[in-house]
Amino acid sequence: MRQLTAIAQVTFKEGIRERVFLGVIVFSVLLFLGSGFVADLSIGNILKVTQDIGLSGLSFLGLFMAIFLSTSLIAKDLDKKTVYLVVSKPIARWQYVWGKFLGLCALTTFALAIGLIAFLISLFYFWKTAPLIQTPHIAWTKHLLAFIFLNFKMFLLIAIAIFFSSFCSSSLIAFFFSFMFYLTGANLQNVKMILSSRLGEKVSPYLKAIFNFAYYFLPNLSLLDLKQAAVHNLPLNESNLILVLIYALSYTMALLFGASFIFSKKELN
Amino acid sequence: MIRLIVGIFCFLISVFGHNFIKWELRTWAISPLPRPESALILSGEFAPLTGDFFLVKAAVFYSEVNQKNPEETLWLARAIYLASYLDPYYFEPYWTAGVLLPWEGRIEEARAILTRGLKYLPQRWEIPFYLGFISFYFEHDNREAARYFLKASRLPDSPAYLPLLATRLAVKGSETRMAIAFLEQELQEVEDEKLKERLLKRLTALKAILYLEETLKQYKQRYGRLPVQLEDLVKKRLIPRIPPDPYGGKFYLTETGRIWSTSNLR
Repeated sequence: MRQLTAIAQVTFKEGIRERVFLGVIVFSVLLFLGSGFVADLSIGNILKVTQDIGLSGLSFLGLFMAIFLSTSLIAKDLDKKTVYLVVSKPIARWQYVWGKFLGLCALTTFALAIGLIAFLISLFYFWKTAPLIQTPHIAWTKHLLAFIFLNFKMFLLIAIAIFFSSFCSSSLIAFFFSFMFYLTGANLQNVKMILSSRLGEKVSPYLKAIFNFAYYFLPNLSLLDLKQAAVHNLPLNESNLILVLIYALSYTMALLFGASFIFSKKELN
Repeated sequence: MIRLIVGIFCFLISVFGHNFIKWELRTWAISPLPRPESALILSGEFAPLTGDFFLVKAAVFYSEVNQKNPEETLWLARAIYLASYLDPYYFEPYWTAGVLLPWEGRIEEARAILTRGLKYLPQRWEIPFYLGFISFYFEHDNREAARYFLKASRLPDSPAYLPLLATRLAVKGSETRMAIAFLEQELQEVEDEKLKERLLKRLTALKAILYLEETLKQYKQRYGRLPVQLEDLVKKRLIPRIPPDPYGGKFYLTETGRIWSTSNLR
């Protein structure tokens, strides 16, 4: 356990020292603070646009952290051979993988929390000052819930990035695969909706069969996306949310076990 | 040193040259729109934000460009549809579809967008209200309009006059008076100055039409028939002059006895 936390701590510190990390955080905080002014371009309920910019910005920030930073930090370990220092110590390979995962999760949550604070401050400010005839209701608790689910989505993405990093020869390929996984995962629900609409009648049954296979096989990230529910205060099914959390956690664990297995068989030379 | 001078020179060219590049709002706005399904897939989880972008584009285009041609109004309708497709729970696209599109001659498109809105926002009274207004004012289908108004009146926060309006529609009322009431309702909820200006312009035109309609009634009472042309109202000294159309057209009497303008109020 001690080894695990040690690796997690080192990863966290290493990530914070990355200049990219600082740049992205400064940029996103500025974006959140200015989101209300951008939203002012729109008509009617400009707070909705502020919320959209804020929540999408948080998603984007998390995406960057989870995929780009994860793949590059692991690749750095392998390229600079720092991984030898770790492996030569009495630390099991699986501990290295899980430690990395925990460190990256902490790093992402840390970055997202900073972003969330900036977003909530600016949203509250514009909510109080926007010259609207009817002050719209803002579902604050659903925003927090969306934030929690966003974190779980990022944990899943980090696990995906670690999984691909465990066997891809270069960080660019691992990054590419993880990003493709993200793109398909985020769109599974949309594609399913389009295929079941009138437009889907023209699609060949083979393609539909492939899609159905992918639908069960690939991580359905859109389930973890509660942005619309938070912005429009849509009703949420509690038991369904718990199922979604179990789904996300079990998928994450499966990927991490897979990654530890591959990593323990990997020849480091 | 020479390199530095050449560098500064190039920079100055790009800064000043920028002024000479022609930039027209019409061509900027009317860029080809993606298919809604492709836009949804490409934007993924950022679809609502993308929808906001297209709505801003449509709103800017609507308030900045005068005298839109059919191609441009079709673009407008498609941009608004795209915004409502990417975020179906967002009310503002339906508002633009209900309040702005029908006046641009895009009645079918407005109807399609609003009918889709009924499914996603069943609690908003405004959506059936807009549909009812389109049926009443543009399609002269009073029964359909009454049905929509009744539907709207049953929803939360709907104005108290709606049930009355629905029943009164069974007896044919003045369409212009109704349109003015509708616009005045909308004007209370608009913050954007440019949009407000547009709506006020339309209100002025409608008030002029109402004024002429009332005078027509007087004429008919006095002479037992409608005048041949509007100028007769001035000749018979019922009104000092025919009010100007704020859209730059000229009011005239249609064959069916309605008052309309050569500008089509666009």
